Amino acid sequence: MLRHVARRSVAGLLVLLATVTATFWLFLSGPFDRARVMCGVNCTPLRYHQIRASLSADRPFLSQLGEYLSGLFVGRDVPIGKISVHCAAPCLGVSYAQRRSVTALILGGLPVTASIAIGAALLSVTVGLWLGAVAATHRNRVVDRLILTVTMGATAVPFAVVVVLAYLLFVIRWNILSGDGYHPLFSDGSFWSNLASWTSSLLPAWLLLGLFGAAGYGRFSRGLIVESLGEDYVQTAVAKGLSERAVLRRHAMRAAYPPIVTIFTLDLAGLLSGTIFIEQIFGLSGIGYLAFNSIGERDLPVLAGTTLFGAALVVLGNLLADLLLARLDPRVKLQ
Amino acid sequence: MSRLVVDNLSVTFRGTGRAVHAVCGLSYELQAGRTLGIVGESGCGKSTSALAVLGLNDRRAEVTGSIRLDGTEIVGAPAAQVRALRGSSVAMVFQNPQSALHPMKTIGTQIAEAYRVHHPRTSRAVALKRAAEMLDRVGIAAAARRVRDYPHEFSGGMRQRAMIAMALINDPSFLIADEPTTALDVTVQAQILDLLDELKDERGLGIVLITHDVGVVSTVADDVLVMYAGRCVEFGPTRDVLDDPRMPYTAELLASLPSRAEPDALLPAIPGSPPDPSRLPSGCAFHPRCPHIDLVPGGRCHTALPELVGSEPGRLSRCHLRSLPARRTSVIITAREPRTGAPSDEPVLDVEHLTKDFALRGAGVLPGARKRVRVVDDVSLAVHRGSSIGLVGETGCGKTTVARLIVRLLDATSGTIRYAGTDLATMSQADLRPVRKDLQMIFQDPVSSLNGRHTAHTIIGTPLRVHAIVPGAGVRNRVRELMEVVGLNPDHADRYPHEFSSGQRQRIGIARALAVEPKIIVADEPVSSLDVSVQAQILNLLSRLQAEFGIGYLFIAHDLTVVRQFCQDVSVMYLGKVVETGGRDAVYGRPAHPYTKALLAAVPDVAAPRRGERAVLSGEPPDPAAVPSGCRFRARCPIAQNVCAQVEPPLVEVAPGQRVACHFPAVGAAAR
Repeated sequence: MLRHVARRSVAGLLVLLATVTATFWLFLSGPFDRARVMCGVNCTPLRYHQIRASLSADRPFLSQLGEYLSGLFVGRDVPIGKISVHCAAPCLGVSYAQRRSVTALILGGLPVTASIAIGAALLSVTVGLWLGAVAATHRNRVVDRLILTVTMGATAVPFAVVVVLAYLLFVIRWNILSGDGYHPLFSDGSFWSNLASWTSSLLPAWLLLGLFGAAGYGRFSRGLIVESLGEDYVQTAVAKGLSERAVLRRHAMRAAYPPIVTIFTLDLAGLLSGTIFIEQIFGLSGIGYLAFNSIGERDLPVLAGTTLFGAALVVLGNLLADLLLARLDPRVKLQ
Repeated sequence: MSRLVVDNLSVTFRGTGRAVHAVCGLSYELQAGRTLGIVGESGCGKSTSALAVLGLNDRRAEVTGSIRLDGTEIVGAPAAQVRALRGSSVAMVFQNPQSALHPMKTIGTQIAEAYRVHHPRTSRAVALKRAAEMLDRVGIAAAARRVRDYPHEFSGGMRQRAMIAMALINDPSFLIADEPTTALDVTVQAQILDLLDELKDERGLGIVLITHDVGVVSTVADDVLVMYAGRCVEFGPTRDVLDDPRMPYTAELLASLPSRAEPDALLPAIPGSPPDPSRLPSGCAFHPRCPHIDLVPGGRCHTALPELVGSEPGRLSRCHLRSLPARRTSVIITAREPRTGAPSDEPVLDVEHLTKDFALRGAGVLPGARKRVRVVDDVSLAVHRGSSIGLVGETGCGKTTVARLIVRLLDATSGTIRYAGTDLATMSQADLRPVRKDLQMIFQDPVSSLNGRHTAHTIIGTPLRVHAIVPGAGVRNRVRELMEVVGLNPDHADRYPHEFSSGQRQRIGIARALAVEPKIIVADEPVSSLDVSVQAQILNLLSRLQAEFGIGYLFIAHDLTVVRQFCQDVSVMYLGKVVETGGRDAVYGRPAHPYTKALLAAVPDVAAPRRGERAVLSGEPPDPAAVPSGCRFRARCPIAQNVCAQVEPPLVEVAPGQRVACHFPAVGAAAR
């Protein structure tokens, strides 16, 4: 077990190293003049040279990459004009526009994005499984057809359109949901009032991401449960005298969990990109917000940093899913 | 004394198409402490009727009639009431222990769950303890530890024992066993049948044993009920029915069993195949296949359904004829010319020292570090023109691998396959292509071995084109000829496999193999997935083709009675090695290896003795990855000595033509 975790972690780290190199090459050392891009329209020669210095762009590629990598482990100081900004490990570079380390910017947005993503993921999977179970047990009847139609519709509509529409209707027109930005869970004041504000600030994000995610999980788990309901072991369970509910929950649905976990890891990247829209429209200043704005501001270090962070999350998610799969299905050998 | 009474039970499926009458007016009565065998071929309604007893038919099924358990009506009873009976008064064991247990839950959890459903106040720990006791009772060693195992850590036989433990944990009065041993090896089948029989006596259990295998019924059932096309066609005490059948179907079915036939003779096969339950024939459903309809005046067999009547107390049969004419038992049609056996009789195919290793997956990164498993170890055999050699053994003994090696679907690790002066084992795939037409294969499963998107014409015609046997324009005619040879209607050439019955599909597979005029056919379990009545037809077809074209067969089978009837030579494999080989009469008549003896004793033959009167081999075949030292059979051998653990016995001749790998061969002793 421990050996397996160690092996998978090493493999994950190798993937991350490759991703670091790739994103670094793509955003920070590619075949174009990064300083020119970041400098923008009103570019003065002084500003241009300051940016070049902050990126160490005068040096050869390998030396730049070495500096970036060593910064990841021990931190480094980055010159910005006359001042020097300290970038603590794990350093992902420094935003010239904000004069702050990218790591600090990402960590600042992490609570928001994590709250959105975890809440939405929980909602997606539980609602999806429930929909799937209801549809599977009412196969080819009205309820099933209704669930299939609605989930099919939900997966067919572009998510960005729905988010904008939801914002216009629920926030601007009816004023039911909050659009004032993120309210931290741990701040001054009583815990309960903070909890209420936190929840109401995140509710639109959860509902939109969660319910739309649930459509996919619903269709998928319906198929899985229909299949497992036809398995011999379900007949065995019925022959034991178990109630229909117990047969469904303890036997038929149990078999659907491992594939759901696999799909979840595949969907993780999609979940993160979903948060970008949500954060942008609902003014939640998370990592997605950060990434989106860094595109407009041509803030390449931030763009590279958020990309890398997303990759790290996906790698970590896969590692956890592997362990979870081994726990869920005893036939999966940890070798 | 508990009683299960099934009275005029009918199960009908009404879907969008025509109604399917799966079970029509079935009645029987079973007392606790007795075993009723229900026998029939696929689609006869035997399983559907069993599921009805527990109310397990799916929603579309319309169940009428009456099923009473000690006077309590089950048909139409409220769901909660039926649920309370399931697993507590009537329990069930299913056919495939591989799929009938939940793969992600421990054996103990699943058995304990069955207990706690009906004893809701019992704690999990107590229920698990009960589960361990029950596992111990059904013969699982170290049961207290093994309750924590998952199904995949149990062998097939152990899983079926676990299913039985689960069924009996609430001490039910009745057990319904639906083909409980069909998925198991004969040695394990014998163990499970004995276990069921013991538990019946010990607990006063009433058992409904559903099977397609008359041999299984004959070893454990007190009474037998024969079903055909959804109806009971014959009922009576097992011995009486098997010895003196009253209904033509029962009589013909028994006569077509290979175990009852003379070796090399054509089997008295029943023509046609079991009817499709959605389009049953009028009158007596058996009339299209019955040899005696001429004896009934006025064509009543076509128009009137015969009543189920008692010819004597305790016996019922459904036939317009009051008594059957005597069978023409003396007619023996010998299909083959006997082989001379002279030294000049050169084999067509001579396999020597064939060995195959497989690398275990994931055992190491470097090729040398991988653990290797020897699945086939030094196997030699010869196939002669116009003759058949049978290869028998339990699951995992390597017999199918041998077949695949010979036709080069797999490459041998070492050894030679000598054919027409060349060694096929080392030949390149390109050189092999022209030789391939001489060596053909017939597969076990006629459903999955034919491409469902190709017509029969394409399937049979492709080898003709590939090997340019006939000019392109002649393919169509040749396919028609071939279809006629194997007994198919040539007008059906443009049909797809699903439009044929399983027996007809196997005929397509045979026609495909035959198309290239092979010298040798490797047949891997060619009849084991077919109904008994169809099996006889296919065996006869293979015999006829052999006599006509002089084909040599390598016939792989787990059914020893089929091999005795069909093959002149037999090789017995155990864990990758041949442990005994020789002529049929020698191996069956004077088996010298204890494993051969045990295999033969385990066959549930119609004439076999019942429990306690025969030696049942204990244990199951060990893992090929952990072959024991010395003699590989010693762990299960009743006569093993110290030397067996140290020295591996070589294959030596104990009688002319009979060779055995055993330190203590039983020379000259007759079987049983």
